[in-house]
Amino acid sequence: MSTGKLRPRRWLTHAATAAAASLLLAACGGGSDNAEGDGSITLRVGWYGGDPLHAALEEALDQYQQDNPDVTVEVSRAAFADYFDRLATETAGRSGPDVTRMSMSYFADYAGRSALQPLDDLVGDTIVVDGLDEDVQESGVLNDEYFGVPQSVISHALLIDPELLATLGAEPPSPEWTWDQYAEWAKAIGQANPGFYGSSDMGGQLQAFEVWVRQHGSELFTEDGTGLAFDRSVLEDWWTYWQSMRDEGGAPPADITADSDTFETSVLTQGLAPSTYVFVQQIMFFQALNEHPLELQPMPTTEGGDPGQFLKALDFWSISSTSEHPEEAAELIDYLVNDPQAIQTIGLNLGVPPSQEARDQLDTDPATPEGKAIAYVESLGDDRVGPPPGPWPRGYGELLALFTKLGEDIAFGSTDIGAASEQFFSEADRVLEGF
Amino acid sequence: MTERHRRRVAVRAGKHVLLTAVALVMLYPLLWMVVSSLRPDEQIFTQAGLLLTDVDLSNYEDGWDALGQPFSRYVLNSLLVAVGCIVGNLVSCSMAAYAFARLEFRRRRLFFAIMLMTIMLPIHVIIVPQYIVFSQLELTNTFVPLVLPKLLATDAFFVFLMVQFIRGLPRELDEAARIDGAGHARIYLRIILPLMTPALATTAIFTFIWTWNDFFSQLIYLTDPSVYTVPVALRSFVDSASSSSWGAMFAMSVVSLLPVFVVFLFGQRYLVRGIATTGIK
Repeated sequence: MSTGKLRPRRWLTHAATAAAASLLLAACGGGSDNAEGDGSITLRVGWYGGDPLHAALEEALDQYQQDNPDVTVEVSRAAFADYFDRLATETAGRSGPDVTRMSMSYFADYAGRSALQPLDDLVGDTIVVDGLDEDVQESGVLNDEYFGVPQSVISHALLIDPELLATLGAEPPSPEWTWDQYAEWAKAIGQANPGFYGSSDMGGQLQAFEVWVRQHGSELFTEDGTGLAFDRSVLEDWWTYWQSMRDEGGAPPADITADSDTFETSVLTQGLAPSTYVFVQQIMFFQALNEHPLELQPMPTTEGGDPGQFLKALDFWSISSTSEHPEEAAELIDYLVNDPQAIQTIGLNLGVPPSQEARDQLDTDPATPEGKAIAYVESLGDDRVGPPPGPWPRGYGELLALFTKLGEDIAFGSTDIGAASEQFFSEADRVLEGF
Repeated sequence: MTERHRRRVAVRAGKHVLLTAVALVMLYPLLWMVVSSLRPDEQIFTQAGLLLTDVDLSNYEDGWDALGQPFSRYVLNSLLVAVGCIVGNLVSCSMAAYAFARLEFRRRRLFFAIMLMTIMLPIHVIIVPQYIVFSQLELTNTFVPLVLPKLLATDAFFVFLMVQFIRGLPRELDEAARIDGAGHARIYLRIILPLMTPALATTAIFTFIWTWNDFFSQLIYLTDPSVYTVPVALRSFVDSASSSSWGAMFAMSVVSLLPVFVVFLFGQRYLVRGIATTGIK
C-alpha cells in the first residue's frame, strides 16, 4: 500500500497538465476567423419558425450578403420554444444574436430587462417605417422606447370549414352576426348532428376574450400593464356564455377541448366543429393539415358595442443590446422590411406583411390561404377594428395559461364561474404587480 | 395429468397473449410513427390506425433534402460528436475510476462524494456558466463544447459505474504486478483496463445513445445549420407556433433511429453483462 503514496500527486499533476493542454489546443484550433481589419463584419441573425421560413429567410440573407460583400451573416434558427431556450442562454452569456426575431410573448421581458437595444435613434433614419400600417407602427414600443420593428400584422378571426358545414346541413355564419346569433347557430348545428358541434370552445382563450372585453368598452390591462382594466362581470358573462354553449351542444364538452390545443388536434382539423377562433395567419397552418378549403371571417360582435378586434404586430425584428454592430444590424433590418426583393423572397412566411406596398407587391392569388389572409386583413374596417392595445405585459404568458386552466376547470365542473373569476383577478394582481 | 398439462398450456398461452398485447401497446407509438412517415401530411393526424392504404415515399425524399443540407450531413455530425464523447468518456472516466478505486489519497471519500453529487446537477444549472466559458473562447458552433467536457471525466455516472466494477476485481492482481515492478500506469493499462471490458462496453453504448438523443446542449452550442446534429435538425421540422412538416420529420426520425437500433442490437449482450457485474441495478 505504502508504495503508492507518492505517486498520486504526480498523477494529479499530469492530469491537470493534460486538461489544461487540451483546453488550450482546443482554443487555438476552433477559434473562428474574426480578422475584421478590412472593415468586414459578421452579423448573427436569429429567428424562430418552421422550415419554409428558414428557407425563405436564408435566401433573403444570401442575397443581402451578395449586395453587401463586407457583411457576413451567420444564422441561428430554431422552432419557437427551442429558440427562446437558446436565446435565454445566449443572452445570459452576453452573446445574443445581433438581429433577432422577437415575439410579443417575450417582448416585455427582454425589452424590460435591457436585453434589447432601444432603436429610437435608428428608426426613421436607418430603418424606414413610414410605409408600415399605422396600427402596427407602435406595436414594438415599450415605455416610450422603440424596441421592435414589426414583421407582420395580425388580427383575430373565425376560421370556417364550409365543406364540413355543408355536410352538417348548415349555412356559414354571417360576418354581421352578434355573439348571440353565433350561439344560436352553433347550438342548432350541435343539436341536429350528435357528435358534432357548431363552434370550438373559446371560453379558456384569453385572446378571444380580449375581443369581447373591448366590445364591452374596456381593455384587458391598464395602460401601464400593472393590473386588469375590466369588470369581473364582463368575465363572468363570457364564461356563462360558453357554459351555455357547452350545455346546449354549441361547443364540445371539456374533455374534447382539453385534448385539442394544437393545430393538429384542434376540433376543426379533426372535423368535429366547422368554426374555430384563430389569429389570421394561422389559416396557412390549418390549411396545410386540412383537405377542405378553409375561409376566414371576422369575430362576432356585441350589439351596440365598440369594435373589439385590433390590428397589431406580434413579431418583431430587434437588436441585442450586446451587439457590436447596431448600425449594420439596423441596415439589415431595413432590408428585410423594405427591400422589394426581400419582401418577395420572404412572402407570407412571417405572416401578413405590415405594409400596403408589400401586400400589393406580393399580389397573392386570392384563392390561396395566403391570399385569403391578406384579403381578410384588408377587409377589416373601422367598425371592426379599434385602436391597438399596448404590448403584452410581463407575466402575460402566465395569465394566458391560468385563463385556459380556469376555463377548463369550469367546463369540467370542478369550480364555478364566480370562484374562477375571483381567482383570476387575485392571481392577475399578484402576477402583474410582481414586476 | 393431462388435465393439469392442458391447464398449464392454457395458462402459458394466456400469458403470451397478455405479453404480446402489452408489447403491442408499447410499440404502437413507434409503429404509428413509421406508418405516418409513409403518409401525406394532411392524413397523419386524422388517422390513428396503422393500416396503410398506399405507400408514399415522398416524405423520405423531401425530408432528406428539406433542411438545406442533405440529412446525411447531420447524421455524420451526430456520429462525430458521439464518437468523440465515447472516446472521451472511455479514457477519462476509466482513469478517474482507477484513481478512486485503487489509489490512496487524502480526502478520497470526500472527493468521491462530491463527484457523485455532480450526477444530481441538472444540465440547466451548469449550461449558462459553461456557455459563457465556451463563447468567450469562441468555441460555439464547434463540437468542442460537447466533446471536451467528456475528456475531463464529467460524466460522474460512468466514473461510478467503473469504480464499482474495479472494486470487484481482486487486488491480488495489482499486487502481483507491483511485485513484478509495475507502476500505476502499467497496472491501469495492462491489468485493469483489459479486465473491465464489460464496463467499458456499457459506457460506450450508453454514451452513444445519450449523445445521440441529447438535444438541449446541442441546441445551445450548435446554431449554424452546417454543424447541426440529428436531434437539432429533426426539431427544425416542427414548430408549434407555425406549420410543421410532420411527415418529413417522422421519416427522418425513422432514419435517425436506425443507428441506435443497430447499436442496441449488437450491444445488448454487453450492456446486460456490464450492468449485472457492477452491482448497479
